[in-house]
Amino acid sequence: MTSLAEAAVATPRPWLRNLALPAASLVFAALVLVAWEFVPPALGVPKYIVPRVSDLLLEMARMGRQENLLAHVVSTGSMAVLGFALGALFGAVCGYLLGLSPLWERVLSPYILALQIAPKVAFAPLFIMWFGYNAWPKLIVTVLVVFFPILVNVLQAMHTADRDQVNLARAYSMSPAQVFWKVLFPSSMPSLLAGLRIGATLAVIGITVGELLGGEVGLGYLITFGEGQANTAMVFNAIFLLTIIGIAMYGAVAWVEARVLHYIPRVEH
Amino acid sequence: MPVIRRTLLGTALALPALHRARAVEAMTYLFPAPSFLPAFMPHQLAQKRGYFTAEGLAVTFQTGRGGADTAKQVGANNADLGGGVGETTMIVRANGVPVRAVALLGARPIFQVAARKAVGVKSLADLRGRKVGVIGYQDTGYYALLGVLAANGLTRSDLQVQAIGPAAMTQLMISGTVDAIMTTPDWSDTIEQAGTALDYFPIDAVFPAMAQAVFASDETIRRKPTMVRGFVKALLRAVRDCIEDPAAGARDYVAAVPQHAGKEAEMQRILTRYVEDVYRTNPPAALGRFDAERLAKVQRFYLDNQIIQTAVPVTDLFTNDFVG
Repeated sequence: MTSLAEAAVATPRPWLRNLALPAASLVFAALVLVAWEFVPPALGVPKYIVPRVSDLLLEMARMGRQENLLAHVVSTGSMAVLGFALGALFGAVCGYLLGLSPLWERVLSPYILALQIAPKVAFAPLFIMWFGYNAWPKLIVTVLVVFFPILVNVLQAMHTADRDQVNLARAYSMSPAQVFWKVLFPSSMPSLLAGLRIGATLAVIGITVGELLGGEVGLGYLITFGEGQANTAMVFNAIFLLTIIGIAMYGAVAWVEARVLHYIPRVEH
Repeated sequence: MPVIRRTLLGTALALPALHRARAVEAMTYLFPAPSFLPAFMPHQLAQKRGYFTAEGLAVTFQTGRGGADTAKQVGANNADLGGGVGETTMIVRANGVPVRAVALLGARPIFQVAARKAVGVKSLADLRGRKVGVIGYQDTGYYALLGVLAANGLTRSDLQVQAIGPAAMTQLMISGTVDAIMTTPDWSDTIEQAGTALDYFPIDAVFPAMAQAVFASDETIRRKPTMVRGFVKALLRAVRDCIEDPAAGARDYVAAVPQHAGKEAEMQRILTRYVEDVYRTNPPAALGRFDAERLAKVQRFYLDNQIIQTAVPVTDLFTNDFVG
């Protein structure tokens, strides 16, 4: 009896154990916010350098009332999703096509490598010059930054596909299309989805760069506008909302990944 | 003995010059747009004619990203002095940036709205749905435009306000890509000379917007008053030169700024426009000075139209202590 009671005390109940981690995270966040609220003013840091948490909340409310915040969030979010979708589609299609054609891969790989190394965001001013002050420049920047990680991941997956399975499929007289859809495509899914996860976070960076350089809508514009008038609270709020968009997109991809790759065992942390 | 006497005499005579040489103070001035723009002719002229040197200053010009950005950088002491327009300080001071204006370069606003005649804009309200260019969203011209729009019942979502940068202001008007811009006299001249007719809408008909101004941080004013006074004196001397003799001013300006080589006539025409539209004050002795009442009116206008959220005491926005 005594040993059972001791064991019950020593082992926390499952619901308690489940709550402990989020509670610790919340306490940590609360401590950071309290420090953020009180430490900068105590050190004499002006609010145009580091605004307090209360300044951020007040500014967020004002942005909602006066700066048409919802329209900016929707614009950035929708363009990020569209850019991500197009970049992912092009990246995946090009990855599969090059993976199926070693000759074309060898011909194009130096150029792909050069384009991958070139800082894509530096192209933004050129896109503005070519396409004007509309949605195209930021969309193209986003597509470009999303394109490469997915292309590289898919190409890598095509290279490392199980040759035995491919040979087996061929031995069963499968057509090249059947080999692709039955063997190569499924085996590339983990790499493709890993690329999509990277792409989802990069999409937010791409769209922000595009909005910082041109255009009058979006959270990137609010960063420029707020930064110009030393309204640092507006800049912080816009960055916070961009982070939320990035997390939402990453979460969506992770959710899809968990369902598509349900058959792959995962380590539980 | 004569050698020693001559040496001592020479040293005594050279002492004031040596003192002046030692007293030269290096400082940085931040322009809100590229330094070669004719809007900054007085600054370049003061440099070329040695007016800054005469005040014991070695001035280095740098370029910021619009007037509001410049005021912020000056307030944060990232530059000794900077430029924007007279009302710029109220935009950033409201957010706690300790910057104020120390000189005003003229009586009338540097900006006005210019629309391509072909577009058929008859009043500022006709800008609805149009594409209007500004240098950047950090520039005071943008805030002035927001004020003008608000006074005409428009918000920025009623039209497309595009931050196109200084180089594109003339190019995109000439090509017809934008319908109107917040123009300065030099851009207007370039566009008209390229054969694009313009309709003008002065913004001081809407609110008492101002000319270019020089900014300094509270700390710089406290710690380096001689430097601020010397800069303002030299710059205002150059502005007076421009008013009195635009031809000579344009000639020396072109000699100082290689980008405009061979364009003496064009620069003289532009400078004359600046003199008539912006620099000239009545009385002439008012050049450089701020009018607290005018600033208060602009601040009230910006506040009423939600261009700024908080008002600061008008006396914190400027000082006339360094003028005259």
